Amino acid sequence: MNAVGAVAPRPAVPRSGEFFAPLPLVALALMVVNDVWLKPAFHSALTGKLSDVAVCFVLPLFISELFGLLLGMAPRARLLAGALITAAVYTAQEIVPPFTRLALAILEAIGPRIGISRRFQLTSDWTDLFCLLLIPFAVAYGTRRLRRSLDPRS
Amino acid sequence: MAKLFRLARTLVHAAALVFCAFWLVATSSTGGPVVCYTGIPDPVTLQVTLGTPPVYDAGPAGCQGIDGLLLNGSLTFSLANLQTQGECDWYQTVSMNGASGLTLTPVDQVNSSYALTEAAGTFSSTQSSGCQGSWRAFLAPTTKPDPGVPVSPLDAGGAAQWTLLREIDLDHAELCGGAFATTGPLKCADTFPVTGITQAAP
Repeated sequence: MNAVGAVAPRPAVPRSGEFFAPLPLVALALMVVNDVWLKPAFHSALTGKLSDVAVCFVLPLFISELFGLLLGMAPRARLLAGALITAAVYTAQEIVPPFTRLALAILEAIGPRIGISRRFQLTSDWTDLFCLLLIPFAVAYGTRRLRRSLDPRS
Repeated sequence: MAKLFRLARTLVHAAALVFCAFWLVATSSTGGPVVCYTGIPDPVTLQVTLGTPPVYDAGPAGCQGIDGLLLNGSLTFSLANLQTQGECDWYQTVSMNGASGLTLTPVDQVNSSYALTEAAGTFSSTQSSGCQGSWRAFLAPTTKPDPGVPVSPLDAGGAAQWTLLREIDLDHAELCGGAFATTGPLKCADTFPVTGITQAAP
């Protein structure tokens, strides 16, 4: 209870915290391990899906955190934006061939500039769309993380 | 101390974001060969103009044009099926014009670390009966393209040096109409400088 007449300070809205957290970082590590070691050693449908699972969990939180840091967007809005952008881009890449070609062209333009000189490949497979189920989970996780950062008891 | 901790946390945070951005791009990269060639579609037909003089390899003798391949000549390669195995990506030669007496066979694995294409098959002279053997040609830049800097075959000639190496393993050199002084099996080869490559189709 505050003293009479005093106004409780409004907690500052966190600009980040949803991506720089244990679960997204573990998902990111899983993606790296899968790409560097598992795919070359045991190339299979499972290793192909692992990266998709990780991307659908990591990307919404990554976009959300970038929007928070760069644009100062409110948590709910930026998590929603991250989820929608991820869902739209991921779905289009899987089932809209012209978008897949555009995405490949962009990746092939960016790749050599960041030291990736191999070819890029995007598989179009509608069964990959099941990975979209990870997006609401990512939003829920991000919301929980940001609520915790607002809670003074945490 | 708290300030230092905050600074370290910010740095680790930034590194995690950059690392994530990198891997979001890299996860779509294949583990295949380096992209060495750019600027041509798949499939494509390329007209290759050979220069003069041919550079004779130190070992084998020149092939004396027994397959019609001479200085200032030209060859047409129809390429398709971009291959992503080996050190560099490369194209299969599905047909070829400009040399005589050839029956091409598909090449599944290129015998060069960075050739754009390899054409191979059997040679049987159209002029001298019994003058036959295996035939192979490699179209490649003179140096391997650097990783991340793919080269276009259409830039060949001038500063971008390309060559066509053609080898023939003859069974009986003496049956080749007097082109060679030796008898029996003979390996001959010519390395032609390429003065230009143009896209003939599509």
